[in-house]
Amino acid sequence: MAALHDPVPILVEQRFPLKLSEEVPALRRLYEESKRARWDPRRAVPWDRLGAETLDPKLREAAAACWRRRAWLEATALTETPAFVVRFCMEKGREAETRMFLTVRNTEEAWQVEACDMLARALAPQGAKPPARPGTDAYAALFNRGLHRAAFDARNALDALVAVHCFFEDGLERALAEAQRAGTENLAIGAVLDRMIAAKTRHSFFGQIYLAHRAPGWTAEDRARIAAAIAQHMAEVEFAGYHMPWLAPNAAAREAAADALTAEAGLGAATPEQEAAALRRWLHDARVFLGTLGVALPEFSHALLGRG
Amino acid sequence: MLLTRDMSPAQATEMVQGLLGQAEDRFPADFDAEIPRIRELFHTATRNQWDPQTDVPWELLDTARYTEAQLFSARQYWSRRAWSEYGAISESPTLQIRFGVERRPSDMQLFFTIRSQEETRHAEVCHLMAEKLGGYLEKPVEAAYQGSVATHGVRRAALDTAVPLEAIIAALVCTAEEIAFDVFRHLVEITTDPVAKAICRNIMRDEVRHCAFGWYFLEHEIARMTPAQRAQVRDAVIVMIEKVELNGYHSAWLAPPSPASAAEVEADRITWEAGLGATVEEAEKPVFVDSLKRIRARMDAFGIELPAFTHPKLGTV
Repeated sequence: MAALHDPVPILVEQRFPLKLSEEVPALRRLYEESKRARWDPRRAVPWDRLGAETLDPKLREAAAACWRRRAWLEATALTETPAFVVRFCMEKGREAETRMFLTVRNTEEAWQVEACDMLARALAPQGAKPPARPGTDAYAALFNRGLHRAAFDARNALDALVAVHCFFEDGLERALAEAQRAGTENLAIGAVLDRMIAAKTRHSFFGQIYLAHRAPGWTAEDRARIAAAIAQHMAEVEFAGYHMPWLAPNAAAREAAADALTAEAGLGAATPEQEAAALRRWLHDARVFLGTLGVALPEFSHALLGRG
Repeated sequence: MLLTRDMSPAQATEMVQGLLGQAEDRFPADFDAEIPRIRELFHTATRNQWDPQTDVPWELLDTARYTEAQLFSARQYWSRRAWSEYGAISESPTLQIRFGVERRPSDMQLFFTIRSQEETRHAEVCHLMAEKLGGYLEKPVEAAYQGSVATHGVRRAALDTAVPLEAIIAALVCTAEEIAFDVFRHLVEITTDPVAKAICRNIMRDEVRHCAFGWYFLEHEIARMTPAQRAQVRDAVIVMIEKVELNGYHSAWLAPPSPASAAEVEADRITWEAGLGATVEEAEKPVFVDSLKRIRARMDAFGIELPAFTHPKLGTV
């Protein structure tokens, strides 16, 4: 495989003194809570209540595609989160709770990959398999953003990375999952979404606690960098349809259509209107929280959403 | 601040081409179980999680039974265990990234998520034990000993795509973790303190899966490996044994003689005599030799022939 990117400067770890004692009590409590919240996708979900065999094959195909896309979304964390763990270890003075919590977070992400994939397989029409790649290269590119490289890159401020990927994005995922859960009556799918919402609540809470812990040490430049990183993420990732394919009617038409059918059937998706409302609520909450830390999010604009 | 002023320029950054320079291409992504035995390890690990806070009988720890010298030595021992386990949190997640970038079977990434969490549990439980014995130590008492416990070099190797993944797994998992597992099994047998024994047993149960992962992976890959790749695997295993294990990474008595390593060895002896979890040269030597022999036999079955190893404390094995 050829190298395609410029060399990445990374930090060199200074391991000792190695602090493992409690430094951020709220994060330590979250870590303990996460350990207790362990679950097993193969046992915790009433798979016998899925009822896929009673569904129309076209609907099954759409729902399988919807849940396979969710598995892809979760699977990006299988490289992103370990990169964050290593970055927190390499950067001098970071708190022990961060890497401890993130290793639990990554296990939860693995369970979510497995649960979403199990749903995709079970929902697929008999003899068929869920899609193995997105409908267009443009949409696939959103899953190949090299987040692990960004996390390793010493030129990227770690707090800004946390703000985007451990606070903003996880909070948005929680808000969307809640919208998807609201229209779901299927017991198996509801059980999966309940677990995902609980995990994503903890994950975004981690970002929130950590940012609040770090904020007193930030400069005006640090705050501007965080606001800019979130704005860039919104423009280049969210508005490109990464979580909400209906925002990219050209690149993600197949995915948007699958989500629409799945939402209509109450199989764990939400309509564009419901997701837009969830996004607006989350933007409001995120803006208020970041405002208390002195970070001013700009106004966002998208042709299908308007300004807000 | 990303960089700190007390780092030397050479220390502060390193330019990494390798893995971080590779393009990412996740698709096709279907999450099929390509190595079913590793997928099953992921499921087994999911079912067998434990919590250092609640699954160790801490109430049975009676520090009044031990002398001050024994407690201080045991603090040193369990702190060193914590540093050693922490290495797997700090370095091994890089391997998981590599599995993804190289599009290795998804079973490997899934299992490694839980493996890293288990390493966190191990560091946490060792830290807790040191705390309860009087206080965790944040660095070796003798600064000179840091070189033996600071790193096993896995992060650098995982980022370097010139080093085959098979060689890293063979060295890190099939060698270093295999040795670590044998030590924990030995500790379970000889440790008398009920809390120390329970910790060793819990860690050992996780280490069984960690070792199995390595061997299952090598078995899956070996048939398609070229003679040159097998030679790289062989070299990596030799380096891990000669430069890391025989340098005292897991066992202080194997470290090069110095006042620093002598102090660690003495601490281990006092801890062992108290039954608080360590072992000593005369007790561990046959265990270590058996580990090397078994690793050699298993590698031999793959057509990878390991040489004899020589160490002043072991002779030639």
